[in-house]
Amino acid sequence: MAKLVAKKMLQLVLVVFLVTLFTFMLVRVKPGEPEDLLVPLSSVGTTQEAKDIIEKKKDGIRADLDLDKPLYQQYVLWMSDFARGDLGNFYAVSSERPVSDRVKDSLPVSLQLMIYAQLMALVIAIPMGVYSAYRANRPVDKVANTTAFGMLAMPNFALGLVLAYYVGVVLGWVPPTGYTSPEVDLVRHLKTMFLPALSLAVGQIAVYMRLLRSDMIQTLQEDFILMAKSKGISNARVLWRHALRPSSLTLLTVAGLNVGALIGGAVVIEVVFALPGMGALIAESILTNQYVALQSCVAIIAIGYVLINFLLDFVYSILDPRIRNVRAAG
Amino acid sequence: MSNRRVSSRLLASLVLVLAMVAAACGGGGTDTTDEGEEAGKPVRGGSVTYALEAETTGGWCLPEAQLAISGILVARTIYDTLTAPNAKGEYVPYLAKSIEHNDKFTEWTITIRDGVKFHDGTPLTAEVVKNNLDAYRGKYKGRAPLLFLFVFQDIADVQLSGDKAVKVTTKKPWVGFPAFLFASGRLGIVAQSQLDDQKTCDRKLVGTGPFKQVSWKVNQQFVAEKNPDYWQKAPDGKPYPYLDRITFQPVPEPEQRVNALQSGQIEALHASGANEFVPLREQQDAGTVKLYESEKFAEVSYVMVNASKPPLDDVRVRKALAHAIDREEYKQIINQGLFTMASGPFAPGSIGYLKDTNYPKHDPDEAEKLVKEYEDEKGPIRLSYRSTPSPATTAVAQFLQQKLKAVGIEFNLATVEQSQLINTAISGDFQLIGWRNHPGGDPDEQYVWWYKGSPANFGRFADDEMQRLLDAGRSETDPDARRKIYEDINKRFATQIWNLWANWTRWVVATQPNVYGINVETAPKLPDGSGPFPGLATGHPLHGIWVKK
Amino acid sequence: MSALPAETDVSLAPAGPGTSDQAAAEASPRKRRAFGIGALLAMGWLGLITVLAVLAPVLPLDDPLESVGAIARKGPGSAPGHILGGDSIGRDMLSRTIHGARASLLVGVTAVLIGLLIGGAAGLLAGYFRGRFDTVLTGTFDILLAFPSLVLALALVAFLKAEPEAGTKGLSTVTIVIIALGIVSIPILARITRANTLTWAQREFVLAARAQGAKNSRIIIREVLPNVMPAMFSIALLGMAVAIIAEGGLSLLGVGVELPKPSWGNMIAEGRGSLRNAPHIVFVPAIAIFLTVLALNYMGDVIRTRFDVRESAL
Repeated sequence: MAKLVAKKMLQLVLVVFLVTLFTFMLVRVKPGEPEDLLVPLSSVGTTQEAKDIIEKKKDGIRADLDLDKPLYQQYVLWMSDFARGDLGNFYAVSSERPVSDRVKDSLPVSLQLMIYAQLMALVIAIPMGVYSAYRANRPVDKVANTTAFGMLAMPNFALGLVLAYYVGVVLGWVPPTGYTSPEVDLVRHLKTMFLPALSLAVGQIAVYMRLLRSDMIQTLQEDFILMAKSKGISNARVLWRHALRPSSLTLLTVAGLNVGALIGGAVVIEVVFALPGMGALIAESILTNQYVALQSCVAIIAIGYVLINFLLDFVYSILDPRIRNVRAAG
Repeated sequence: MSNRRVSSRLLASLVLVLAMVAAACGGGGTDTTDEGEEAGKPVRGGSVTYALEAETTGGWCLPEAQLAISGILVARTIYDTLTAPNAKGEYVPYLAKSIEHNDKFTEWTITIRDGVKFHDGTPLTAEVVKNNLDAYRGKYKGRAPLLFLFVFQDIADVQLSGDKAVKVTTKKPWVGFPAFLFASGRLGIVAQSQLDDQKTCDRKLVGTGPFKQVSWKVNQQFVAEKNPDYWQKAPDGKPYPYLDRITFQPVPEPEQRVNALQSGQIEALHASGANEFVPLREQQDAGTVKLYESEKFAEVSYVMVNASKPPLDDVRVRKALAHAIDREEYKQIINQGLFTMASGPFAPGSIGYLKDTNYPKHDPDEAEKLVKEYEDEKGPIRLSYRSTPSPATTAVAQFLQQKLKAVGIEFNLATVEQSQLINTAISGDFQLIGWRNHPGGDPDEQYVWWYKGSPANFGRFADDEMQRLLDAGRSETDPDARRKIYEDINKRFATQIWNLWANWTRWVVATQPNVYGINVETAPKLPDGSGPFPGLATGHPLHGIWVKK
Repeated sequence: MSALPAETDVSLAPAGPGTSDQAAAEASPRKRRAFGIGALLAMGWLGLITVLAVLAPVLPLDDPLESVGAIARKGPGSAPGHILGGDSIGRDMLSRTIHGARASLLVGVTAVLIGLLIGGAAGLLAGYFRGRFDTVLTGTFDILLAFPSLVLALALVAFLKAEPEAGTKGLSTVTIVIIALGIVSIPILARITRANTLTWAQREFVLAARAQGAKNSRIIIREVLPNVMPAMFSIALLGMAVAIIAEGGLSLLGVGVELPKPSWGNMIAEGRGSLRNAPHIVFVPAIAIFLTVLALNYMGDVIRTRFDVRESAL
């Protein structure tokens, strides 16, 4: 176990290092000095007074980001700040706002979105998958398969636009846009998150259902299932109590790994639904050249991604002791 | 022809500040639904959520802030300005008790209202006002304003005059000065504590306004609650505001704002695009929303030309562009026939407005001729155009591209985020940009945008005649002579084509049917008893809003 | 030795629903059934859209860039001569959809080709030689997968985009979008290829060839590759689908294929403000994407079933 933890820690460090290094290098590809990209003001052609103000501002940024030091030192300094919880600043002409402020407000929104989307996907996909496997190749299975195919083919941003208007406005069932935090109004919060979560979940439903179905078909052919059946245990019980657990390993793994894909999807969905989450924050950072913010956000996501998979490894062994032994052996 | 949304954002951000000038402008009717009598007596209490077209990520450290219309709306809930425009577009004392000038318009005495308190409990004093004015003009330690620096460069000095007044001395006669104390709603008076706040000046707002800041989560919401000690009294004798709470929510996609209103999620929104006017007007007819529209004292949408670089430094090329664009078709396709095409920078009602300025008519043959003439002489014309990536702005960009292609002008498109777009404008590294600016009021406020060598003259035209006219306009005391000056400026634009005018920007504030106190019939009067300002280009006051239960 | 818990792929895991009846297929010897009606429809659509896209410039279509005021925002059927109506500035929707297919398919196909060439080769080598090379490669791809692909693509496009001023040298936006989406698809394609190579490299005929002293390069190209191809191909089809959708997402953020060139993604992005009055501007390209992605996924699935590709490796 200690070995596994050590290995995971190493992986965590490596992932965060490479991902942030990559982000760090990316901005250097862009023509222009970092401070000019961060604060879009040029002192060319202005009066002396204005020039002084602009230059002072840029000097401040240069000092803040150690831009006069060699690249590797800049990176190391950023890294050590990050490790101490200083995520850098969002720079604007009239303000310097700590990225941590924004992350603090945005991260919960994205986490909520992701959790709801995952839950929604799993809640729909699991019964569908179980039942399809049970009825493999019967009409019900075919319909479920076809539906899954259809869901997989829907571009989530277009789906989001359409849902927002038709479900949110024309039918008026749930709010079409915006964000309400759960502390303010839990019911309204859940209602506002419904459409974005659904838009994000639709593609996942198909994925999960398919995975579960195919694993389940295999499980259903195993001896212990046949034995259970021969003992006269009801079909429902066999399916849900005996077959589902060992069949859900791949599903869980994929659900965990999908976090990365979901964050990508969330960028667009958050923009479509005016949700102030990490996706929107990352898009804003990229489109306005706020590379310090981008680095920090990306590092946070990478850490989250690795941690989730770390966690999954343990869930895994709880779910199926056979795996635990195999893994321990390997 | 920037489009409405863009521009608005742009404009906004746009850096500046400018204030409007005083004087003039006849007021005028407003377009509005009539209510008033059916409104009944204002009710106190309740809250309103108002969807804004953009977040003000840079915050509200007012001397340094870059406020667009959304930012101005928020600023006007938290802060008060020394002056404010009335129904006729005259700038009357607001937070100031009175504003007086000497005969030469070179000395302005601003007397402070008694008993006004900031949200932190400190009193409004002449000294705070002086510090504010110094901060705006770049003479206050620790504050580094960029744009107001230019706006106020004609101020020579600000002095205390007793403990109740501040005296401003100007370098030359400055007839429209009171308009600059409003500065499109951007010149709020900030508490001493915020002025001296080096770290969080952008996000800890302390003013004298009708509402106090409760919280601000970027891109999520800005919440403000009633200031129970507000200095303006409602007709019922108790202080404004009527509402207990107001929440601003940035919703940048305009159709999402309309969706939110229609689904009852919010109580109010503002919008300026044809795509929003069409459904909102339908809903108004169905009685499900209430609209207050205004084209009074409007801004103008246009294509800003960088006249400092070839080929656009040649007036023939600029003229060719103007001749190539069919403005009637633009109105039908881009604006769905809704908005009035602009004849110049000054909207109807403003000083300097002319119905016909002799701006070039649509004439593709003439355009082609000019292009050919130029190309024979100096080689092929290749241009680029930048705008923000919203559907409305990209539609404009692609429409223009087609029209110019038809007369032989190649035209690249690029979309960039608003802050990058502004950067581009400031740095001068562009040829054509979709823009919106110049809200109506006093034409003198346009000084910094057009003056030769001004850093805010993004189009970089350097015209001695323009310079002469702007200087004359600033100091001219005779109203008729002044009008004549600005009409000449208007005509000069039509012959020099430094900008390609599209439409005057019409704004609408849409609310649920039970929200009152925004349109001119139900909005509060100004402290001097004059009627409320009918324009919407710089937002509107919010202390008079109330919700019928 | 993979750092991740299982040989599971992230975003393409879906595989696709479909025919596949693994249970049936495994029970009986592999059947080479004729293509079903679904596969025929899918191939038909893909064929049609490809032909239209290729021939777009010579087809009797309206200019996809010319705006005609009279058909602005007119829906299908309400503008004579324009079957699918006009967009928000009066450009023919049919013509734009077909020209849009050019851009969208070009992005999808080329991006995946990049992924296939680089990722496929890497996966093949890693799966065949294993050892340290495999460890490093697999580890690298796991790391790349930790970076949300759309974020990566967005960052690449935003930072690599050339300045628009006339005369500026630089890559066009389409090229950058292709490169970005190509890079994003590399780790996915590499993983699938590697997983399949692993199994094939252990098969008797490969071992036999090796025993006879055949060169590694020969074995990889002659023995392993042909067998891994179906898996690569089926994943490539899915990858194309993902790339086409991703281009749409980028367009919505304002960094997709450059205007005024139509792509399905930027058509949706441009129509999003008119959903209420002119929903067809969004629906027409959205349906085109839907059908194309559906067909690609379905064909990927059909191929997987026919060639009995290890699905558990996905």
